[in-house]
Amino acid sequence: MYNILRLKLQIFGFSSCLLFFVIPSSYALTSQEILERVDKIRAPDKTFTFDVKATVYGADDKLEAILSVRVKDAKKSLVVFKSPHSNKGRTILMVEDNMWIYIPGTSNPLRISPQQQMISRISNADLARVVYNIDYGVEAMEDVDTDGTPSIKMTLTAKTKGAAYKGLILWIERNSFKPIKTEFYAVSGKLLKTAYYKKYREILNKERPTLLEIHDAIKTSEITTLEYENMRIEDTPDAHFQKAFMERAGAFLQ
Amino acid sequence: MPVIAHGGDFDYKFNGKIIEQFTYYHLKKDYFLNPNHGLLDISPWKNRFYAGINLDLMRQDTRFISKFRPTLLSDDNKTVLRTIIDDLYIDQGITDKFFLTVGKRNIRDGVALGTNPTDFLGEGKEVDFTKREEERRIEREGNYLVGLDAFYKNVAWTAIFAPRIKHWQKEEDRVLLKANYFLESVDVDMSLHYFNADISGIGFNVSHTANDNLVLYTEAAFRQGSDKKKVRLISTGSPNSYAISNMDDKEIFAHIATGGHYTFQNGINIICEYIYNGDGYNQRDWDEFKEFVVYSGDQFKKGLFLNSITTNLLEANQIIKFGQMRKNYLFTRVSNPSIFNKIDGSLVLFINLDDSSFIVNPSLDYKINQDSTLGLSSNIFAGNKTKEFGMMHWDKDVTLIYKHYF
Repeated sequence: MYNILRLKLQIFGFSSCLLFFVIPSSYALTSQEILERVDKIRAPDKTFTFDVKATVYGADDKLEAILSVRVKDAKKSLVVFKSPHSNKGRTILMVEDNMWIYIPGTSNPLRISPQQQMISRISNADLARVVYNIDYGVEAMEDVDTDGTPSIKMTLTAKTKGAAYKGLILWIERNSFKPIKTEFYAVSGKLLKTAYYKKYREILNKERPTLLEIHDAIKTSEITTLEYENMRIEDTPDAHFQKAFMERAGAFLQ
Repeated sequence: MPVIAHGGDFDYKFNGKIIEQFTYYHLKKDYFLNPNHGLLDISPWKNRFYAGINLDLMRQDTRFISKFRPTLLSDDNKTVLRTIIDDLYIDQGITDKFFLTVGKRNIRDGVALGTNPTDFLGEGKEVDFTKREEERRIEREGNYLVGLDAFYKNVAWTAIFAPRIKHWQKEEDRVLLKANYFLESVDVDMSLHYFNADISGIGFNVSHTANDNLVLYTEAAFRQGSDKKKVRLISTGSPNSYAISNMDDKEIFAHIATGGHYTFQNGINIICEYIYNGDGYNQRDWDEFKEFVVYSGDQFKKGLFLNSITTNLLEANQIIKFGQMRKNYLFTRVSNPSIFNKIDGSLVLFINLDDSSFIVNPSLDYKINQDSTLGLSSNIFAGNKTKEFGMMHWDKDVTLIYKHYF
């Protein structure tokens, strides 16, 4: 009898351990922690740098730009356009909820609102802020199946005034937290665009998406791709993340 | 963790644009400042063909910046080839926080669009008013100066000395001190300025993002003295006698531009600024000036007292600076940067609130391809001929401009 009980306990203990490993680790985390895990896939650190090739495929044209991005402490970012000629040296600075744009040779850098961040065909907001957890909180979460992949559907709402969108719906792989797609919504509830995370590659010890494909829900013939390259951990002095420095930023972001 | 590193031992950047710009002026047949076109020979058209060339050389912490505009300027009366140097300076990084600048540099200060009271070093420089507000100060001749910038977290300090240089820089010695702050706790960025020159002053700029769609800002300068002149009738006679005098050089005049811009979800942006010129004419000043101009214009047409009347009218043309004569103005602009994804359109209304005359400025820029644009714009001046914008030499102008970037 004792042996049967012992056996049952062993089976129970083993099953519990097995269950622990089988149950997705997401159940052990809060929703905000899950969001932070997702962001750690997209951003290797709070301070890092990368290059982006942005391509806008319109109905009749194609627009390409190459940009260099520096992020510091997750809340500061400096984006410099390297091409095309007409945009070369254009710089975007984001500090907390504040954003400025500098166009070479113009007046001083202009402060722009979150709404203006989205106006250019390549959204300044999409370039300058890589992570979601700073500007968005998780409102709801549910298990779903996305094209055969067990996933979590997360509903995010803006929690800062610097957030470019009022709400997001984010789908992530349940086991790995890899983002699959994000829907971006305006304050009216209107779907603005959908972004798909593709071409996962190992970068800085993690599988990360190197292609973001954005489908515009309003201009349905328009697709934007952001190809991330040269991601590395590299610091930038705090003093460079201010409006007065933007004119010199282009020379320092090589 | 490596600190930001400059790429390569030597680097250069060469880019620019080629511009062909033609402006037609619909000259008035008869108006007070130039009766029967007998005083000033104003061309009804102007053509400007020029290149804006940027050549930057960079080696480690040293940058050589140059921006110049070889320009072929033609009108009815002349064709002139000249090269205007906007920037020609060396920017030397001493550490990653300190930078020394020596040479000729087009410094632009201010946050407003309709006017920039704190743009001290830009005073008296020629700008092209057929261009959009953001573009006007891009192409502007620089000042010879030496400057030092120091960057710390959330604050940057600047000191600039622009000396008088015989033949090259006629202004008296000028000193500009600036401090730029970002007040993180209230999301406000501001700058404070001190300017020492013929007309010294202090100034500040403040801007803040109020919500998702709205940015608010204020730009203000307080100057001791003014370069404006006033006209006073001394005595009536044959001819009338007038005195033209400077403003009180001890008085402090405020110059303010305050407003904001709002962006709608569809991309349409509205800007609205109230502009106050402390040294602007009050009603008496304007009536005296108006009477001076009307009287002189009438006498000129009659062919009377031509020497003194011609001098009066030339003085009047020197005194009048359109858009700055009175105290209160309103600048508004509606723009849509992406009409059919190809056209950037805007409409400006600039109103003299003291006399209700105004300028309307519509413009369209068509993006031919990634490197070329074609633009069409116009200025339409409205107001009775005794009001500020009614005194303009033409009632409308139209500009066609082609730009190619390389």
